Formats: sequence, structure tokens, C-alpha cells
Amino acid sequence: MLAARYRVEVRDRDGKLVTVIEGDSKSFTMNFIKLLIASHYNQNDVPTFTIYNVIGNVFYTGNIQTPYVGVPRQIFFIDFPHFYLSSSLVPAIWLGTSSCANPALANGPCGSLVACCHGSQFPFSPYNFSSSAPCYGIMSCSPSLTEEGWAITITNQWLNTSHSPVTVASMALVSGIVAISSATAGEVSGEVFEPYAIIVDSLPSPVTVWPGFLITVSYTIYFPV
Amino acid sequence: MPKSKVGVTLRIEVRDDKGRVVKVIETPSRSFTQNFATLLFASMWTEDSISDWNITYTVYDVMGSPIYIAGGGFLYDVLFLFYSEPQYIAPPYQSYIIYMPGIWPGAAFCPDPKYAYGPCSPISTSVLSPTLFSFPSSPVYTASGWQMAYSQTWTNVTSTPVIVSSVALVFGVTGDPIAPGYLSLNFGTLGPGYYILYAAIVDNITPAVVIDSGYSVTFTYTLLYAV
Repeated sequence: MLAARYRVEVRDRDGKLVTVIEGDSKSFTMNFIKLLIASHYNQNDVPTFTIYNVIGNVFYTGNIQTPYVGVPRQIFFIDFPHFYLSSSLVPAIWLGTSSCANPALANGPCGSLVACCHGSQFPFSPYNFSSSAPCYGIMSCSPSLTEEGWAITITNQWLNTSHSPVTVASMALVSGIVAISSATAGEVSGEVFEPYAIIVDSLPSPVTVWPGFLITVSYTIYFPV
Repeated sequence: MPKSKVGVTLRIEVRDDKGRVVKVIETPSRSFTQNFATLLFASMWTEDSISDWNITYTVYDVMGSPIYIAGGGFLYDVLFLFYSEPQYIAPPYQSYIIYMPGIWPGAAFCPDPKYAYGPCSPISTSVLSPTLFSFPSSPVYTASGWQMAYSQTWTNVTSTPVIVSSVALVFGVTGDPIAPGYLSLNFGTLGPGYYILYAAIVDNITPAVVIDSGYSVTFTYTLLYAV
């Protein structure tokens, strides 16, 4: 159904392009496929699958084991800022410092998570990311028809605001879903937002992003026509 | 940029009234619909964002009726777009020519399948009688990628041959405020609601296949997700 390509660009402080990597994405993840399958069902017969969020914490489809998501909804959801106004999560392409042994079975970018969020604990900060722009300025809000089919392109820019060089070796397109950790008749509580990876890729060779350098990462997913 | 290496395959298998295979066609599918792509985009956002950004997504159901996704639209957002079961289908579709998710046959070719709303000239279930729609129940990992197979069999229950010229993979889609029971951030578990039927993929069958009286045809879509 789906093919995806990724592109990585690194620019120095003067905006000069220093690295470009482009390739076919290798891996829709097993976590995504399980959520996709469960989304075909209704609330009475949805199967129970074990899913892992980006940091490896478990949740479940169906309504039997907690935390659970029931029938997964909005499995392509990336509207983190509007969902949790206080969230530090930034959609949608997150970066890790290590390659993944098997990206299809990875839960997110591998190694240390270095680009995901607002916050001084992370070396990368989002750049040209606008909370007020339609679709945050990271993608077109509607599909475009290309030679390869209907295309969705999501592009994130991350600026190394730390004082050290950062190695990027894996990337992931991250979505999110709400899980319920406890429920009584008619009421739910303990809602947890679970970011999970739709696609994970190891870069063919790690790239180094020096302080003040900008890394631009994009995924394009094609639906054949 | 190299061509996509993965995609969708449509297999058509015709059997006679004794169950013997008389024809097999296997061909790459050509057309995810614009409706599917639009619904996928809409499903990425909250209803608040769609409203704040003043966006209206317009898609068309299998009957060709427009569905507006916007603040104050028929749907405020898109929550589920791969629903494949016969329950909870919205009333107008329960009395339509075909009334549940599946792989629907059509009597006519579609001028441009990617913009079609379903198979062209859908064939009534009183002419081709369907089995239940079969859809994926567990992940299948192959050398080519994650494989998702959908199939449905239709039997000609009339006394005359039937020509099938197009097919469509039809799913249910829903969102606020008509979604069935789901886990809502604010409202807990809601009661039963409804799904709208739309075509995610439409293909012409060239040449058209003839299903003789008593014969059956099985359509199988195999979707591959790159690995």
C-alpha cells in the first residue's frame, strides 16, 4: 500500500548545505501495523495486541489489558500541541543517536532521543515550527497528486542549540494515541498520551550536527495511483 | 526519484458452479482515491485545529454525497477510516445497492478511478450475492513488506451472465459527532454510532470479466507496507 522516502539535510550556521541523504524508507513498524489492523474492528471484537510507545512502554489495543486504547483511533494523528496544550512534544519526525538493529521492530529512534520536544534537556530545538500556522507549517494540509501517487510530505527542522556536536543515526515518523490506564463503569480515568512510531529508519551513515547547525528531515509517503 | 517498489495487487479469481477455477487475473492496482488521501490528512488533526485553521475537507461517500469535515461540518474530525465490519453502518447505506464494507463490483468502467466514489454502476447484492468481507487479523511479515490482504467472494444468483468492469475497496469512516463508542478524552465511552461508507481504492478491470450464472468471483486486494 505504502511506500515512503526520507530526506536528511544538514546546513551550517551560514545556511550552506553540508550533508544530504535521501533514500527509500525501510520500515513501517510492527507497532503501526498492529494498530492499523485493530482499527478495522469495532469496540465489541477489537483484538488485543501489545504495542510499545517510543520509549518502550507497553499499551494494548482492545479493552482487556491496561493501559488500553480500545479501537485505535486517528492512528496517523500528529496534532500534539492542540491535543495537550501543555505538551512539550513536537510533531512529527524524531531523531536518535544510534542505528536500529531492526527498524521494523523498533519502538522509535534508537539510542538517545535528541529531537522530539521543546526543552533544554534536548540538544535540538524545533526551528520554523509555527503553532499558529495551518498544519504547523510542517506539511501541506491536503494531499498532492504526484507521478508516484497521492503524496504526504512532512518536514521538520531541528536546530542544534547545545554546545556539543550531536550524531544522528536514526529517525522516526511519530504519531500518538490516547490510552486509558483505569476505568470503571461509564467512566475512564488515567488517560495517557502514547507517542508511537509509524516508520523508523536507520541512516545509511550517521550525520554529525554541530552546534548552530540545522538538520532538516522529511518523510514522503506515497499512495499509488 | 526512483519509482515506488511497493504497492497494491488486485487478484480476481472466477470459479464455475462446481468450484473449479476458470479464470485468474492478477494486476497492480492503480488507484487510491482522492477521498482516501483527503480523509487520511483530515485524520491527522483535532477538530479544534481544523476549526482554528479554518480548513474544510470535502470527501464523497459511495453514493456521491459530499461529507464536509470542518467545525460545524457533518464531521468535525476523522477518527476511524478503515472500519471493515457490517455493524454500525449509517442508515442511508443500509438500504443502498451494497450495504457493508468490502470489495464492491461495478458494471461500468470508471473514467478516472482515483476520483471515483466507488465502483462505477455498483452491482446489486440481488445479482451478485456477497460472502462476508475478509480483512487482516494479524500482522504478516514477508520479504516484500508487511502484507495486508482483503478479499470477498460474489456469486451470480441470477440466470444471466453478469459483467464486472470495476471494483472498489470500501471502508467505513467516522468521527465526531457520529462516532460509535470509543474512548474519549472528555466523555468516556460513548454509545453506538455510525459509519459512512467510502471507497479507498477504485480499479477498472480490463478486460471486464464475465460471471456466468451460478459462477462466483473472488476479489483479493493485497497491500504491502514497505520494510
